[in-house]
Order: sequence, then structure tokens, then C-alpha cells
Amino acid sequence: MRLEVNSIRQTGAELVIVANGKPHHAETFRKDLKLTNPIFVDPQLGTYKALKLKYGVWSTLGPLTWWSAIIALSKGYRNKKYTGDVWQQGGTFLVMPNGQVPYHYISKHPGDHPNPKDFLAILNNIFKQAKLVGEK
Amino acid sequence: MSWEISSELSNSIVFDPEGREHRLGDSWLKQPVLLVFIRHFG
Repeated sequence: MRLEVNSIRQTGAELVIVANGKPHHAETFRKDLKLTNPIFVDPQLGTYKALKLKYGVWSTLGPLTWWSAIIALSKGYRNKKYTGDVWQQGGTFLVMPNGQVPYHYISKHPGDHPNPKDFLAILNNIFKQAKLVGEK
Repeated sequence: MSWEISSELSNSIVFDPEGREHRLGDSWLKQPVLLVFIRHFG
């Protein structure tokens, strides 16, 4: 996702991260990854619940996770210290100023991530349409 | 299939790294955002 920040910004959109943890965890994360985009935390998980993101032991430790874990480990990824609620899964939403959501992806388990090409294609299409309207 | 963001989500309060409160819906008032909910830090 970090590699896509510039591609996202070129379309006029911004990457906003919401995490499960405390503010000081976000500060460390931001400094470690040198992030310049907005990052927030929701310690009570209200936003996760409002979006019905997956939660629980099965979605975190079930068989679908095992394959993702094997692939991640083979690529050298290692989890450091966990922060927040480890049973909570994530999701990705493209939100327009009018509240419409032309793209969403709800992760089923750890390691289940959207393909950046999918949301970038939608963003680029929106950007082109906005540019055409602006030229008229 | 296109969703719409609920007012419940728009009015949710989240915290920045300095601990200040923000209304999540203010993030997309002026521009589209790719809103990414991550599992955890680390």
C-alpha cells in the first residue's frame, strides 16, 4: 500500500489509514514508515463494527490464514509486537465526498488484501472523468 | 455494487497520533479518500 500512495495522490485522492490501537502506537508506526498521509486510531473499534469488518478467532486463525502465513513467512515478513485487538480484520474503502463508495474490499483473514490495481483503476477513471468535465 | 457511507460511520470519532479527536467523515469532505482499516500495527 505504501508504494501506491503517490499513485493515489496523482488522482486527487488521499490515503487515510485507520488502525486498531492507541494514538502513541500510530505515532511510532508513522515515524517508522515515514508516512505523510493521515493516520487515525479507533481503540473502541466502533468504525470497524459500523463497516461489519470481520472479527474473531476463526477469521484470524482459521485455515485460510495458514496459506497466507506460509507465503508471508517465505517472503521474509515477520510480525513484530502486536498492538490493539488481534482478532480484528481490516478492509479498504474508496469514499467519495458525496459518501458514495465505488470500491470496497473486506478482508476475510490476515494476509487477505485487495489488489491495488483494482482501486487504482477506479480512481484513475474518476480522475479522467473529472478532468473531462473540467475541460468542458 | 456501490455502497453509501452511513452517518454513524461519518460521525465516528477517531484519534490522531497526538491523541486529538477527529470526526472520521471530515476526511472525505473535500476529496476522495482510500480509507484503509488495518488489523494492527507491527
